[in-house]
Amino acid sequence: MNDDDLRHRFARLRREDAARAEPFERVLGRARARAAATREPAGWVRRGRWAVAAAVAVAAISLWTLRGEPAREPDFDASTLQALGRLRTPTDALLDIGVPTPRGLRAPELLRIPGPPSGVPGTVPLRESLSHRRTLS
Amino acid sequence: MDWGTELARSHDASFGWALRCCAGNRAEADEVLQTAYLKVLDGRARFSGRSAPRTFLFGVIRRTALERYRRGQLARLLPGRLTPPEPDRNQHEVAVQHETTASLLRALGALGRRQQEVLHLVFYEDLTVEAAAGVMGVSVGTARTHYARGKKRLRELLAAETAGDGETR
Repeated sequence: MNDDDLRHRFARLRREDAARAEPFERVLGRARARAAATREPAGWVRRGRWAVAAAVAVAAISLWTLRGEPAREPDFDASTLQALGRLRTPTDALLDIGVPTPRGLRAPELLRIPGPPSGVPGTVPLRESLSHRRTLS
Repeated sequence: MDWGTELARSHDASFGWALRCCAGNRAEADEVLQTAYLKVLDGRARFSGRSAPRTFLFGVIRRTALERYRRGQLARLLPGRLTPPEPDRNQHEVAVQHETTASLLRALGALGRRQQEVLHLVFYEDLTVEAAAGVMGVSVGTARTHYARGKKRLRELLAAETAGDGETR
């Protein structure tokens, strides 16, 4: 069976469908009559419905987000972290290990900056360990 | 664009396409066609001019049929609905006269929806595969794949049916 056979079969189907089809004018007339009987709401009504639905959805999501538990207290406050020497800016850390900054400062000039207290459990005395490494190299 | 003239000219083809989109259900096809015509004439479906008017019209009919189908499915799921149940979409109307047409419809019914659509658009409506892709809202490559596989399967089904008829005689 080739394409022409298929075309013949479809052509027959098309002729049979065409014989069953109602005239265009009658179909359109019924469509008009139905549209007049069931009048759709005006555009602003439809848009208003969508706007209300969107507002309700946003409100629901907001309430869901805000409903949660009270904010948890941090385990350590800022002063504790500073005392442990962990609250340091990236620039401080770079200066500690002697990396030149844009202003050309080097670590020896910055030794006055208080470093982490040694001997505090859980901290690494960064400057000491680095200078030790430099000495070794 | 004078859509009144265009719709009248394509009416028979549009009816055939609406029938295929509604799986042969005549009442559904009538409803779909009416709604699609109103959409076009009232400007709710806007023609951008990027495709041929006929391609655009077939796209509107297809979308309308899908909307009706989905709405019917949703209505079935909703509890306590008041509307009567929709007729079964997969039931072909038994109003086909010729046996070759009946066998073609049976074979088409055994194909996937996309394959049925592309074969109908190419063989029945004489559209190119590219135009069929535009109506179906898929890429040309996808349409080509459905076309090739659908045609192969349709041939097999029709050949099997013909062989079956020959054996029974």
